[in-house]
Amino acid sequence: MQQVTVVNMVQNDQSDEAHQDSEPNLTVNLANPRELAGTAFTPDPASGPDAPIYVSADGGNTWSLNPIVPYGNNITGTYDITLRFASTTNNLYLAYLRVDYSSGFGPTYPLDVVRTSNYLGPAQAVILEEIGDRDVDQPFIQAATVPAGPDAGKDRIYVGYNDLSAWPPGRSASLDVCLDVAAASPVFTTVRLEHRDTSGQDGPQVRTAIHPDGTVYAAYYGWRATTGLFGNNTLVVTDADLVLVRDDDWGQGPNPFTALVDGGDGVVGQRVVGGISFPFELTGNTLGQQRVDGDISIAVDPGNSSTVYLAWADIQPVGYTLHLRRSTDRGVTWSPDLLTIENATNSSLAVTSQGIIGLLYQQLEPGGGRWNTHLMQSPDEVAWHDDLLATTPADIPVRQFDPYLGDYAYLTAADRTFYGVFCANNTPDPANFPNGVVYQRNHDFTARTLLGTDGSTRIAPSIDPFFFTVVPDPCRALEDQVAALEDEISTLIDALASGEIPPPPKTAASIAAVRAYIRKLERELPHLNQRLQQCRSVHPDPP
Amino acid sequence: MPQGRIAGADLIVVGTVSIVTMAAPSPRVPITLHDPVWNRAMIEIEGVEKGTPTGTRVEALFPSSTDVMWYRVPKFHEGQQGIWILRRTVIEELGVTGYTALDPEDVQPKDRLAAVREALAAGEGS
Repeated sequence: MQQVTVVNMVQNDQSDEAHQDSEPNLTVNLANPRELAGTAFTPDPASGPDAPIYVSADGGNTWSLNPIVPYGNNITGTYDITLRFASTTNNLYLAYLRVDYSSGFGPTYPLDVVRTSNYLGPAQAVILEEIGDRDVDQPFIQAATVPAGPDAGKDRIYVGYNDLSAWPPGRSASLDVCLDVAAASPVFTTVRLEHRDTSGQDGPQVRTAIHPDGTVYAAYYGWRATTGLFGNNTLVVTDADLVLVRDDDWGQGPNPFTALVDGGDGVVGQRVVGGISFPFELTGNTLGQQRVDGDISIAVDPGNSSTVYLAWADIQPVGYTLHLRRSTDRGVTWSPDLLTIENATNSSLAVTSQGIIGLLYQQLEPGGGRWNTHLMQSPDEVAWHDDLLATTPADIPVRQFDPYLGDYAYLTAADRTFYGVFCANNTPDPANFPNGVVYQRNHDFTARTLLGTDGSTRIAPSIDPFFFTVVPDPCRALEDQVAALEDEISTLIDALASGEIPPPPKTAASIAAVRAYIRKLERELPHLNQRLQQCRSVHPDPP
Repeated sequence: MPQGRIAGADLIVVGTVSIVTMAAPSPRVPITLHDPVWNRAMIEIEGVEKGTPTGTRVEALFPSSTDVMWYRVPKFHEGQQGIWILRRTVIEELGVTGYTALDPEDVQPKDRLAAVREALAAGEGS
């Protein structure tokens, strides 16, 4: 039996808030998975000088805010912010953007990297790196602790970001690497990932995936051509490559992240897909109130560093579309689409210790009425199980700012469990959460309304972060397939018996064709059931 | 009344926005999602409370972006009346120095003029 838990992360004493707490991120302490931390555009309720993070010490059942991030603002806490625990040291690392007016001459936008060794404590996180002299965007951090060898025990972090000061020549996809970030004076190295000419810059999404054997992948959009104007909300990236780079030794050699060379042009960086086009929006236009600007997510199989997954977005005739592909040879060759999902964004990938791939995404329903948040999972990339985590109104509340839900959501895995976070309308309507939901803030499920700290004042719906865990049943997707096939056979038999099919004019040949199709399906059923039994023999007790 | 904003202002005027235009009309590369998208607003001056404008109108720059980094910064629109608490600011993206009103309290309704004057007088007396 699969277990799904969804928790609204806003703590009870913040029941009066109606802020747009969008753009979530999440990390799980692998050394103790009951310890989790998250972020969103959430200010410190006490209006202190530091921005808060969401913290949980009970596996995500309850959450509170801990203001420990330096240079917070009282409107959104920070701007783009992501965070990761290292694998075994309990150290938590964060990378984020802020605005600095301290020069007195005009705003600057530094990127800060900070560390805390006690994410639950009151001490302000320590600043490890500050990039204040360059124009940077969307820092996205990953962290790991070296498990063995001469560097065992060292924390390593990889902060992907878009360094727009690299223009010209515009090769802006960048990665700051620190190979011993818990050291007294950590040293950061900037790696320029882009080795081709660009249209003037790369995209802001630079995503990394770390395997404990030292393999580190990084993916980005290499922009080759654009049209339109960002300020007019008409900018379209008309030609982009989805590029993957790889390093096989933690990114510590003389030429880091150059292990993958594209066979087509002989240049570092495998072009997984070329000719990609998508809008690059200042404000939401394509998918309701949510702006879209490209999506990239990457995950490596913890059991095999050669198996890597990529999800990305482009614009198709049907709309903004997510794609999922897999490589089993360290990023050299790629499968066709394993999944193609229309009108969806905020993709995030993770792989469990059992090799189950999970894809989190948020999809706008046709007509734009609701945002549906899904977790798709599969043990074999053939049979997929879909959990609908939330189905929430898309037009309420009205956007306070961009991004409405966030430029990203996040999924990760610890051992056999998926952990994730997404943002959505927080109306406490049980029908919006098909797998159930827990609210910490005051609410009335019957009246489907939020209540203030006094327990009676109605509070308007807003955007909140929602934490979730899914303990997958590896055989669930196969069970779904068996059930769907049995249902199809039954439906066809009934329709044939009632004369609903075949359509007129009924002939002996057309009736025989239907019967033949039913027999074909019936022949498939034992094979599927056999696979299910084999799966159950390996996983007799669903977690 | 935002005493600190008033004390730090280079120019405080009462006036009406007559024209708003995009400050960088050509495609600008590189672009971040947090680009302020600077616009220019021409304010027709009706009264001067602090500083010395060079004419009967003053140009102010404001970020028109609705991005999380800028949504709380005052947006100007044509016909808008108010008291404008302006500072000289270096706008690196445009390579210019101009007047800005970047704090939500830097734009006050006209009926707050007495309070602004009070704050100005208090600042001068301190």
